[in-house]
Amino acid sequence: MKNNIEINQNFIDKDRRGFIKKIIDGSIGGSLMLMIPMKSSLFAEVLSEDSNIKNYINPMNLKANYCFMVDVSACIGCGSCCVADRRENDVPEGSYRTWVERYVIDLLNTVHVDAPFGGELGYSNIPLNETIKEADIKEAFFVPKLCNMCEQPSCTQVCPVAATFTTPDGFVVVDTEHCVACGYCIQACPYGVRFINEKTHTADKCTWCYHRVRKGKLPACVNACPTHARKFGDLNDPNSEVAKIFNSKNRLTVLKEPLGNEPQLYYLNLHDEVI
Amino acid sequence: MDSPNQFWIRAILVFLSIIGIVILGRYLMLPDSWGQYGYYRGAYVDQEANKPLIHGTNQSCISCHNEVVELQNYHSHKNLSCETCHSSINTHIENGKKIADMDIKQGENQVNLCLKCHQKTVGRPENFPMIDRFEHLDKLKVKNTHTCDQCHTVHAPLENIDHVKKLRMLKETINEK
Ligand code: HEC
Ligand code: HEC
Ligand code: HEC
Ligand code: HEC
Repeated sequence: MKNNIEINQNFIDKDRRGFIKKIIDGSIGGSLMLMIPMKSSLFAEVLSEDSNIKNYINPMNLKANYCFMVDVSACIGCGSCCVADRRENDVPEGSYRTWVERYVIDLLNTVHVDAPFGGELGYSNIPLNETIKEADIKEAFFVPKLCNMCEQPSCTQVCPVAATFTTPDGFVVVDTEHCVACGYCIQACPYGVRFINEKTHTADKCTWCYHRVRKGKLPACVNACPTHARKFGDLNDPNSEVAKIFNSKNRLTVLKEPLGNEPQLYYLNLHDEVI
Repeated sequence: MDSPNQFWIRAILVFLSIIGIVILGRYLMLPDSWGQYGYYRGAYVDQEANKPLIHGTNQSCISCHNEVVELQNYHSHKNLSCETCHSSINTHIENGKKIADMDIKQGENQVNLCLKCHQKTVGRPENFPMIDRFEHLDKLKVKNTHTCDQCHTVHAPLENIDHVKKLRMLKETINEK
């Protein structure tokens, strides 16, 4: 199935190329080409003018293959990540760029999932659903969720104004000046990570703290995680922790793999029940 | 009667004006950096990257609070971010100067802070040090109202307790002799 899709994709690409070639050959080609100024400045240095140390942004690292890993077995459900995320990205109350779900599996293999307040308050004081008896619990664990940063994102494909896109270094972001808040991307995202931001009146989503990464800092949630359950790094750097895990025998899982979105968010020790 | 030439001239004019309108429309409506990297507004990449940092890292506290950072780095709270328990650095420091005090949790707020991570809770991994607040305090024969920092130093939670334990052991060995 996947091969089929790829073949189709190639066919489309070739067809498009052929189309453009035909235009160039034709008499009106010149003027049409003038209208598509596609110069590539991928390797241009990107430095901010007034870069003091704190806000110095590095050039895009195009050699990197950034990836996020979540070790489910280490998460204690304290919600520090969600608090840090809200502060860092000024996320309005009631919306979540990242959240922590609680999974409880009872002896009859019924799976109970909840995430009151997005797990932001932690789970210490949040009682279980009354229907669950503590003696019946077989397994319980916390699953942090955030943007999967798909390599084949559905959200960017449906955007009618190209306001959401993948940056050259592989982050899916939302152009807040261009977005018209039509909400297509929210429906398209299979992981439900998008929402309408009440403050900016645009679609919004987790960016893996792109602004921090470009400044050489870890995403806010990774920085805040007390048990190192969240990890972020470059898979192409063999010394990074994520690359070591990736190349080890640990079983890594992605969410909803059959959809073919190819997430770059990997889970370690994830249970099959998690969707 | 129109001559056939006139038809062609008209057709070409219509065609050219369509092209002109498209070029003009593109010029007026597309942002400058459209197509810089791909089919989107390239300038936004830097705009996103330029968003201000709200949180620093523990490294950003070193220059002024070296002792606390060092203390924490050598004890079980070494993986904790200072800003989890205090607040983000942007509320405290601006352009290298202190602008406001940091949040210091005291009393019940502090207990809640510690319990956010340490309360015995369904779902937490078993090897994580968890306590039940009242059980913990009852076992130690103190009042329920004790705050955690009365026995634990927050930045190195077992430091003084280990110390006491060692002293006690020393005392016992001396007594045995
Ligand atoms: C530019 C130096 C500087 C940096 C960087 C800095 N602080 Fe401070 N901080 C101060 C000063 C000055 C005080 C006041 C000390 C005093 O009153 O004794 C202070 C006080 C504090 C206090 C006590 C507040 C109070 O009410 O007395 C806390 C907590 C604190 N800082 C945490 C942090 C944390 C966490 C960081 C890193 C994210 C940090 N600071 C970074 C200069 C700094
Ligand atoms: C577990 C939560 C926690 C973490 C993590 C934490 N602090 Fe604190 N900090 C506190 C509390 C609570 C107090 C209040 C002091 C007390 O009750 O003993 C405090 C007090 C302070 C003070 C006031 C001076 C003092 O020592 O009494 C400073 C400065 C400070 N912290 C800096 C830091 C720095 C720097 C870091 C990061 C290395 C850090 N803290 C990490 C909870 C924390
Ligand atoms: C953000 C989560 C978090 C908060 C808040 C927090 N801790 Fe911790 N604490 C940890 C982690 C993580 C460890 C290390 C656990 C380990 O070694 O596996 C730890 C370790 C400890 C230990 C040592 C346990 C051991 O067996 O080594 C004590 C004691 C402790 N914390 C007390 C406190 C107290 C008191 C407070 C409140 C001031 C507090 N903690 C707040 C996350 C937290
Ligand atoms: C009366 C003093 C006292 C108070 C108050 C106190 N503790 Fe403790 N705590 C201890 C001692 C002593 C130990 C070491 C117990 C041991 O080694 O068996 C300890 C151990 C711990 C541990 C490690 C448990 C483990 O299994 O490794 C944690 C976590 C902890 N305390 C958290 C807290 C928190 C959170 C509070 C605040 C509600 C608190 N403590 C208040 C004295 C105290």
